[in-house]
Amino acid sequence: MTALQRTHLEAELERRIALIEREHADNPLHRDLPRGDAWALVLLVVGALVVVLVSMAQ
Amino acid sequence: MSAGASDTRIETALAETLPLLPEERRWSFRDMLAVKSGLAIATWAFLFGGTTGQLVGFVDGLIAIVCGTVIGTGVLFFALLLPAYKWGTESFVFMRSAFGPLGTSVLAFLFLVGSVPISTAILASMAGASARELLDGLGLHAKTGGWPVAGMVTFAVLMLSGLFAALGSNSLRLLNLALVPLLVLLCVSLLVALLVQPGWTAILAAQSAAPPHDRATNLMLAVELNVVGGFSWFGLVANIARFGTSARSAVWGSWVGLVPVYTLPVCVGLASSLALGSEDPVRWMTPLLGPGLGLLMLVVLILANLSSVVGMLQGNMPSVIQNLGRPVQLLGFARTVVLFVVVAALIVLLATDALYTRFYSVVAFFGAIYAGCVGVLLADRLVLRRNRLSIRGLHDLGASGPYHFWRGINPAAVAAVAAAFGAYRVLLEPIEQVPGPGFWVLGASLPAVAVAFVVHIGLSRVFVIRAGPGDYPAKRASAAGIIVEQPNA
Repeated sequence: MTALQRTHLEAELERRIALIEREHADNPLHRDLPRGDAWALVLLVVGALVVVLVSMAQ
Repeated sequence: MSAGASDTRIETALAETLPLLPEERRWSFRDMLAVKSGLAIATWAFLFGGTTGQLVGFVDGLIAIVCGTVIGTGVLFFALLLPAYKWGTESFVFMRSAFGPLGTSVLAFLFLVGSVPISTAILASMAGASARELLDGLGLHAKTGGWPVAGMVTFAVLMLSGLFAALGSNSLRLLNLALVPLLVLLCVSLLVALLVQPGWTAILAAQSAAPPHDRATNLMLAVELNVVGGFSWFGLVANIARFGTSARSAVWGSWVGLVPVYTLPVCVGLASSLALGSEDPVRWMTPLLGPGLGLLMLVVLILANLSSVVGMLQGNMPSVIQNLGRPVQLLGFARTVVLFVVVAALIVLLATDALYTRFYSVVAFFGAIYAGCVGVLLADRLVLRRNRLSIRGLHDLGASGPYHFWRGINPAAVAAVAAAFGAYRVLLEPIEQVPGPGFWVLGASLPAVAVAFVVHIGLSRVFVIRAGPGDYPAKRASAAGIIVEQPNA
């Protein structure tokens, strides 16, 4: 990569950061997993833990 | 193209090392599922199944595989996949908020240089072994005049994978959309073949040849193996998940690929290691499936390993370029891929057999460190920062950057990872897998996550947040006694 390409990459990084900051400012929850989905993921993990513990006890 | 235009052009693949823009996040649930399934169905899945089969019987093995994978991937998703998706950043760039830029680079060096070439070498070697078996089945091996066919195919797979990986994420998506139906067909065929012969009853009745401990300890060892198996996707799954069009498609496309689809080949490895004495489908596929289908499936197995190597290289290269310093950045995307392919080729030449025999040790050693990192990341984002982060700060590597901490390292996070490694070591010695007191009921990786979580919160609250660095929100009591959140200066 040449020095010029590197400078261009840095400018591109700055442009992207500005756009992403704007996206998050407009809608802070836009990229978050919906709460119900997050709970489903938690329940799957907890359920798996319970199955392991029950299997150990048998 | 003029010299100037050429100079200022950024390769598509190199641009993917930067935080992604909304228009670059276009993978649907189906795309994400295809890529993650393509990554999951490969040699390592059979190896995980086979190693599980050395510890427990089929039913316990099934419980260990499914539950261990659900736990490992689920916890990892909260620690790394969700935040990397939210901000569109490469995984290790996100980790700077917890470990500092230098601390993150040290971890990245350990994880990426330590594990990516090793995994790549194992996958490519198995593709080579499949090719040798294929030629044997066709009666062509003798006609190759003693050429090292397996080695040649191994290197061909490495080179082809490097080529695909260097083209960027879209090549990965298209490759997997084309291959994944074949890969699922491979797993279902192998499973059906095992259920026909030696049969369901024989698989259920088969026991591990020489289980090393009592049943409870063996079961926990098997669960532990699969939990750290889930952790060991680490930055790779998060980097790829960033391309999802929504958090939902990124999370569930990844989850279905890495849990239900992944457990198919793992169960094949488990059943075959118990009933046939070998988890490696290359050794028993042709006799069991018949020459026609068996040989076809060997071709598919080569493609399965190819797609996984492409995913491994393509998904990890953004991390490599972001974290291994200026010399690697100057190489650019394509040449860095080539560098990793060359290192993997050297490992194939020097140490593949050792890697196969020490598979659990390699997984458990890295798992002990991953567990600490996962605990720190969960505590840092969910408790200390309450899901707030500055994307500009993540890319500010100067001494005045908000996540610079002290000399680029957050000592609280480092101490938490060290404490977690110590806790893991007390419960399970990772190299020889010697269980410690309490392992049979606690396991090792989840307690290590918990230790890292608690230590990181404790040290951060007592020392780091009071001292100022890290851009943590600080609670200050107002004169009226109301708690007001203010960012540190």
